[in-house]
Order: sequence, then C-alpha cells, then structure tokens
Amino acid sequence: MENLEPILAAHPFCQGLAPRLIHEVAACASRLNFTDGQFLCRAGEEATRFYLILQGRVSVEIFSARRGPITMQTIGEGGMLGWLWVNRESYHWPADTRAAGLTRALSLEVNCLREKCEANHDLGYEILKRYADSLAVRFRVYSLQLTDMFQD
Amino acid sequence: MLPEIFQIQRVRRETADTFTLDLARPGEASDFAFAPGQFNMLYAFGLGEVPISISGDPAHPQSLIHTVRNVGNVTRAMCRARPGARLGVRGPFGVPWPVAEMAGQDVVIVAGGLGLAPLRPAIYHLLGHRPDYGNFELIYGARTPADLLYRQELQDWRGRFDLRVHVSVDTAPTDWRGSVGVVTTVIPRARFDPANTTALVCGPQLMMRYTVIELLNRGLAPAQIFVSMERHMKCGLGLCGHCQWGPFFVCKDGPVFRYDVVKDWFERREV
Repeated sequence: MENLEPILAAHPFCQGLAPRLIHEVAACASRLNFTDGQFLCRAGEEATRFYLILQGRVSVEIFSARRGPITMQTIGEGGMLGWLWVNRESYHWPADTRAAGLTRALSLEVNCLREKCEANHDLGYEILKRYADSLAVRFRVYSLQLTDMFQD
Repeated sequence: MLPEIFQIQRVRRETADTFTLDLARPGEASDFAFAPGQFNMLYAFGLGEVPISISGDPAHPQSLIHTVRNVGNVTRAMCRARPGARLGVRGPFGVPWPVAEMAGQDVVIVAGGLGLAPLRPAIYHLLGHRPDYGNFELIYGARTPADLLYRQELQDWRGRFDLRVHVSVDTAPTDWRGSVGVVTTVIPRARFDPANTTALVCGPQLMMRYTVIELLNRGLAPAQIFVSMERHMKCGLGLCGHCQWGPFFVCKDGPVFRYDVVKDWFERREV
C-alpha cells in the first residue's frame, strides 16, 4: 500500500502537523484521480469524504433552473473541498463539484477522521485549528464575492 | 491648456460597455510621448471632457490608445464614435508607475475590471525590458468572463514563459475554464520574494483595499505597493480642486501613489 504520509505532509492543510498525527490522518486517506468533467460529489449526496487537492482544479457549481449551472468557486492545488463535516454527524454536499481537467486529490474518510479526532484530542485540536482558519478565509472571500467589488 | 485635435483611427469593442479607441493626429504621423500610468483629458466636442488612462504601449507612441467605459453622456458619445471622428486631447497628466525604479525586482501587478487599462502600458514596458526585472506575476480579476478586457492579449501573455498570468472571475458559466473566486484569493499563490518586490494595483477602491491587505499579509511593506486612484478630475493641472483627496490632488500628485504615502487617507470615509 502506498505511503501517503509525505504527500499529506506537503499539503498546506497538514503543514506543521506532527509526524505522529500525519500518520493517523494517513490511515483515513486514499489517493484519487479525476478526469476532466468527472464529478467529485453531487448536491444532496451524503458527504462521506473530503478532499485535499494535489494537482489540477475543481469547480464548485450550483444549478439554477433559469441560468443553468453556475461556477461559484474553483479550488486548485493546495486547496481543500468539503471541510464542513467536522462537527456534523451527517452532512450533505450543498453543491456539485467536478474536475476541470485532470485532477489528483487525496480523499479523507470523514467518519474515520472524526473517530480519530475524538480519540486523540491533540489531533482534534490541530484539525479544528485548520478548520477555523479555513472558515475565516472562506467568510472573507464570500463576503467580498457578495459585495461585488466591481460595482464600485 | 487647449485640447489638441485627434482623429479616431479604430474602435475595438472590449466588453458590452467598454471600447478601445486608437487616436492619431489627423494628417500627420507624430509621436505622443507618455509614461505608463498617465492619463489624458479626452474632450467630446459639445459634451464635455473626461479623464481616461492611456492604455497603449509607451514604446509605440505613434498611436494613442484609450480604453473607455460607457458610463455617462461624454463616454457614451466616445463609445459610439466611428473612425474618422475627432476628439480633443489634453495631456499626458499625472504621476506614472515607477517602472524604472522597479528594475531588478520581482513585480506583481494586480488589476480589477477596467483597472487593467492603466496597467497595460506598464505591462508592455516590463515585457519590452524583461531581462531588467525578476519574477513577473500578473493577477487580473473581473466580475464575469464577459467583463474581461484584452482577452486575446491575455491569451498571448499566458503563452509566455517569462510571465505568470492569473485570471479569476467572481462567477462564471460552466464553460469557463479558468479560476473562479475573488481576485484577492490568487495573491497567496503568486510567486515573488517579498523582500524584493514591487506591487502595482489598480481597480475599484474596494478591490484595491483588500488586495493591499493580502499583499501586506504576504510580507510586502507599504512602501513596496503602488495604487492608482480615481477621482473626479477636471483641469488635470491641480488648479481646480475637483480631485482633491485630503492633502493630494489626484490629477497632479497621482493618479499613482505609493501606498505608505496615502494609507492614512485610503480608508477615510469623509474624503
């Protein structure tokens, strides 16, 4: 079985994580490739994984009956997708996400990681720190997007 | 200062409401020297005068190029004008981008919407003197793909190996193959040495404010960031006071300012 620890350690989400914690996260990880246009998730499906993007880019899309599919955001190398599961027992994807070109990602099993976070609060704290940071960045980005900076 | 008569040579549609006008002196081929970042006052006869940045190549001053957005009576008339029509030109005015002082450094250019127009002469200059500069990152954001200026040129620049071009739009239809997200999200990915970089920023003021925050987060000092301001300019000479911004006249002391010089005024609501 491929050792994913070096790949995890190199991803911005895991940067600064102690090797013993990387080891625990790696137990929940697998490597996936997506071809152009292939869906990583569909709106409404249960979110059982989240993804760390290693290479390529994914598009997060919502569907409007009047306007058709609209890309709200793209996530590229070093980004992550599906981080909202952290303190939810059951979470459903709010939007479609598909690969825009060949995309390589690490997939992390949500239940597996949650169990490890519960069992090892050091890991839980590290993951939550990253979650909070990511949340703060997303809030800032979305508020700017809603403000429409170009209306100025 | 009286306007000089120029003739429209060519009109190119950039977006639904934005056009690029190529101007030349009628009947003679002569240069119009300017520095990247400067602007002219363009006069539509009988309607009025507006400040428009020069968006052409300073190394090819035979053609005077302006990109104009149709936002009022004067600009509407300019956007509807056809080749052969005449406009009055006064200028060039204002403080330019510090392209000579940036030699030897990495350069980050961040443009939002129509803000790419006043930066384009600086881009031409940098590409024309490429060995004089370090890494060159061009970051351009717009509301949608349909709002992007100079699409063919962006495509050409993307093909170069000595320049990294990042284009991001706020929302897009699914056939858009580029990045989607506000332009500030690109800055953390840009490659430059913060200790030896100059950033040039132009766009709506809100976009510039958050761009500056991201650049400061990346380790740039306020003195390494230059912003191009927009105010209601009338005389272009610092006499009439229409464009006064705190202690500055944007037409004369700007439009390009070093951020540390203006940062106390950047956020003030009452100016």
